Parts: sequence; structure tokens; C-alpha cells
Amino acid sequence: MTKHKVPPRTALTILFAIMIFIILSLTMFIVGILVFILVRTGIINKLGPPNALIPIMLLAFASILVGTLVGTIISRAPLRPATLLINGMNRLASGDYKARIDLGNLSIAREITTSFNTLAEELQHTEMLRSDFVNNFSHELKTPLISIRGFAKLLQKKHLSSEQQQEYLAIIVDESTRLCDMSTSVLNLAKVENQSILTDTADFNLSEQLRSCILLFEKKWSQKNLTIRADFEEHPVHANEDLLKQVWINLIDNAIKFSPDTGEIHVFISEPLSSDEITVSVKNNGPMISTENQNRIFNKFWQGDTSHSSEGSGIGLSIARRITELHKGNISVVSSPEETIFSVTLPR
Amino acid sequence: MFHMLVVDDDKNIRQLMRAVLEAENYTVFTASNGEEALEILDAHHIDLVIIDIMMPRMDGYEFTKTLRSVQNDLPILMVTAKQLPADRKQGFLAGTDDFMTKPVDEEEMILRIKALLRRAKIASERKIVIGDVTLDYDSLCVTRGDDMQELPQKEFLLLYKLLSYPGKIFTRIQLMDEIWGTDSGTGWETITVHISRLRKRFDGWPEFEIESVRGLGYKAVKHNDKA
Repeated sequence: MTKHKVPPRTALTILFAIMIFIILSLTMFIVGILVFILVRTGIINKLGPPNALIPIMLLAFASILVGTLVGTIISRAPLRPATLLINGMNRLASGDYKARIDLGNLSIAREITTSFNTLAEELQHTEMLRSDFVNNFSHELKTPLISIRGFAKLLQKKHLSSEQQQEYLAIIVDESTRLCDMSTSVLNLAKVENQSILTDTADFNLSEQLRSCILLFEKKWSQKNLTIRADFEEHPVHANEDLLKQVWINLIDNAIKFSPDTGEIHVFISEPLSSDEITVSVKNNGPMISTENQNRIFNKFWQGDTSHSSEGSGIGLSIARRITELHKGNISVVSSPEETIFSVTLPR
Repeated sequence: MFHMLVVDDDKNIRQLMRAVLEAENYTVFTASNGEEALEILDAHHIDLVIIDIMMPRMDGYEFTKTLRSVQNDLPILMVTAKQLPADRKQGFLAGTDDFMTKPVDEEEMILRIKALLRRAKIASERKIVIGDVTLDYDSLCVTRGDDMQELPQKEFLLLYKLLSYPGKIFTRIQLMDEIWGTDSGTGWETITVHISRLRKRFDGWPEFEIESVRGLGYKAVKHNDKA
């Protein structure tokens, strides 16, 4: 890597100038030799001084011929990278994202090589995510539908005990609910993933927003007799209110879902004066999330309980992560057998 | 015997809603779009409208705006597949009283309908009655048998608000914004002081109690709640 970065345009111009210089020099050299030979062997002398024009025209003509020949031969070198690049781009365009190129060692060539290969890698990565997602989603969609259809068909048969009927109907209700919730989540996910920059930000009271989100779940936490600790001062923040609301709703819902009865959920905000960040944490006394799972839980469709017997579709945390990324913040989890804490840090 | 109007362009949804509502002993009318709904409103007395948003000819937003523009305060519950926050805001701006996203939990819908009917009754009568206690909005008086107290305006409004939504927790900021206004300079202490005054006044009245929920806010709890 050169320490001085010569801008690509200038580098190309210099390269071009050098090539022209080489071509012209070679041409003149070759023509010079030809003339020398012709003079030496006496062919030109025969024409004599009055026709001084003829040697000049001959010289010119010879230059052009030789120059073109030399140029054609020499330009194969600089044109080769261009051809490589064009071929590489065509391969990407036709869907072969494994294409990579190497244009040689000149600094400008290395720059183009790096840019191209990075582009190809990103495309390959996106393609992988997309087909992964489609596969996962299709599977997540089909699984409950298979149950629903299966049990409905069984119900069509007449000889089932009323207990069995109730059981099968309950399964149909549960699986349909799961499907609906999943489609709602996926819609939210698609919306959030399609955003690359954060829009619609405003100043608002983060503490009040947290309180409202907690209150949304009042029925759920009173049913489990949970204690909610939510003592905080008022903290203003500048962010996208609707998107952050989704994050809190997801974290609080999970905290409640995985909390044992009569447990405690503690929501706290920390805003140290020294840094310009604000951190919201949601703590519960739920089961520990193992270290290997701590990263995976933020993946789409991941659920700790692979039998899918708990509600929810495993997309909430990946939406939460995407939203915090959009805010240039980050989300993390710390878990022990006694408590699990999810923390979201945002720049103020 | 309450009269409900269900407005949705999907036949199966109308049938489902009818079944759920009739199980609660409500009388049900149906319409498949906003225009038909208006016609039914002209011909029958309706207590509450459950309306979808996406319908041909006249959608849910249009219908709501039309009613509100002629000062019709009929309770409206929007039930729709549209789930974005922007859709909810649009619904509330149009004038709906409540908003649910499909698929709805039928139990929750019934509870919300009951709450809406209760509030409509309170709004139209401007009175809240709990056992022997009556709160009269127009006179700012709270009466229990022979004991009648006229309250200062803010104290009354605070109590009225909490008792209109019994069991619901309100944060201090929500109460301050509603009763004192968002731009007022009043601080938290005002709410705390008012609450303690209310508690002192009605200490020992068995019908209701104001509970604090630490860190979150306050709620009024009714002690002979049947509904």
C-alpha cells in the first residue's frame, strides 16, 4: 500500500502518458533504425536532395505504421486488466457471486481489485442471507400449517371422543395464533431491514416511553404476580420513537415471558455523565441463556426452546438488534442462573 | 340490550364477529362498507360500531371522519389488519375511540367493547356511580348517601379520570398532561399532593381506593366491581 494516496484519475493519466511516451519512443527508435539501414545500404541516397519531401513523407508513413503496430502490441498489457474487470462484472451480473479478480500489483490495480472483490463478497453475503431467510421462513410457515391441516382433517372424521376433539381444536387455535403473530413480526422485520438510514427522529422522554410500554403488559405481569421495579428519573433522548418502542416492547415481553411466577422485573436506565451514551437495561430472574446461545438469540427465527411450544416466533430480538444498529447503538445480554439482563445502549 | 354494528367487507369476518357478539347477548347489525354502515345508522339505534379500515366505497377512516364531523360521538372500535404505528395514529386522528389489530383476541375485543360502552355512558351522563358513591362532573361533587363534598376542580378531575378507568395505571406525566395541560410548569409534587389530599378525604370509604404503583403511577381500584 502506498503511503501517499495518488488519486486514481491522476494515476491513470500518468500511466497513459507513460504509455504514449513508450510507444512514440519505440516507434521513433524503430523508424530511426530503418532509416539508418536504408541510408547505409544506399537505397535512399538514390533519390537525392531535390526530393527532400519524399524521405520526410516516407518517415511519416513509416512512423504511423510502426507506431500503430507497436501500440497494438503494447496496449495488450494495460487492456488486460480492463478485460478482466469486464469479465468479472459480467459474472456478477449473471448471478455468479463467487467471482473474484486480481489485476496486478500497481497501486491503482490493487485498489480496483479490492473494491471489486469487496463488492462481490457483499453480494454473496446478501444472497446467502436472502436464501437462508426464505428457507427458514418457508419452514416456519409450513410447520404450523401442517399441524392445522392434519388436525382439521382428523376432526372431519366422525368417530372422535369429545376430549380428543377439544384437544385437536385447541392445537388448531394455538398454531393459527402463532402463524398470525409470525406474519406480524415478519412484516415488522421487513420494514426495519429495508431501512438503511434512520429517519423520523425527534426529542422525547425515554423514561415515560418505558413506563408506557411496561403498562401495556400490565395484565400479563399481574397474572404472573410479578413485581416491577421501574424507578428512574426523566431521561430525554433523540431517536425514532416508534422504532424504539418496538424494542422495549420486545424486551419487556420476553422478560415477562421467561420470568418465573412472583419473580421481579427490573428496568433501569443508566446515563453516566462522562460518556455521551444512555443505556436501558431489562433484568429478570429467568433461566440462564448459555454463552453459545447468547449470540444466536439475535438471529432470525431462533428460539431457545426448539420445540416451539412457547409463543412468539423468534424474530423479535433480531428486529430489536436491527433497530439499535440503525440508531448506531448496540444491544447485548448478560446471563447467569439467577438473572438475565438485556441492555440497549444508544448515543445521546 | 346493546346494539352493535359490524362493518367489514369480508363475509367470514362478519359472520365470526356476529357469533362472538351474539354470544355476549348483543344485537348485531352488519354492513360491508362505510356507505352501507351510514344507511344502517340512519335506520336503527346503534350503541357501538366495530369497523374495518380497508373497504371499498367508503373506508373506515372516511366513515369515522364523517361521523365526527357532524358531532356524532358514537363509540367506534377500529379492527383492522393494518398494524403500523402510522395507521394507528391515522385512526385516532380520524376520531376512533379504540384500535385493534387483526387477528384479534375475541376476549380482549369484548373487554374493550365493554370499556367503551361504560365510558360512553359516563361521557353522556357525566356521572360515575360506584355502589353508594356518585361523582357528578357538572357540579364537581362527590356524594355518598348524605355526605356530599364539593371538590376543587383539579382534585375532582383527577379522581374522575382515575375512576373512569378503574384498575388502569396512569403515570404521573400522563395525569399531569391531561389535567394540568402539557405546557404547565407543574411538577410531580403537585400530583403527589393532590393524591394524598384525595386519600385523606375518602379515607375509609369502602367503595374505592387510590393505589400507588411504585415507579409507574397511580390507579383507582373499585371494591364492588361487577362488570
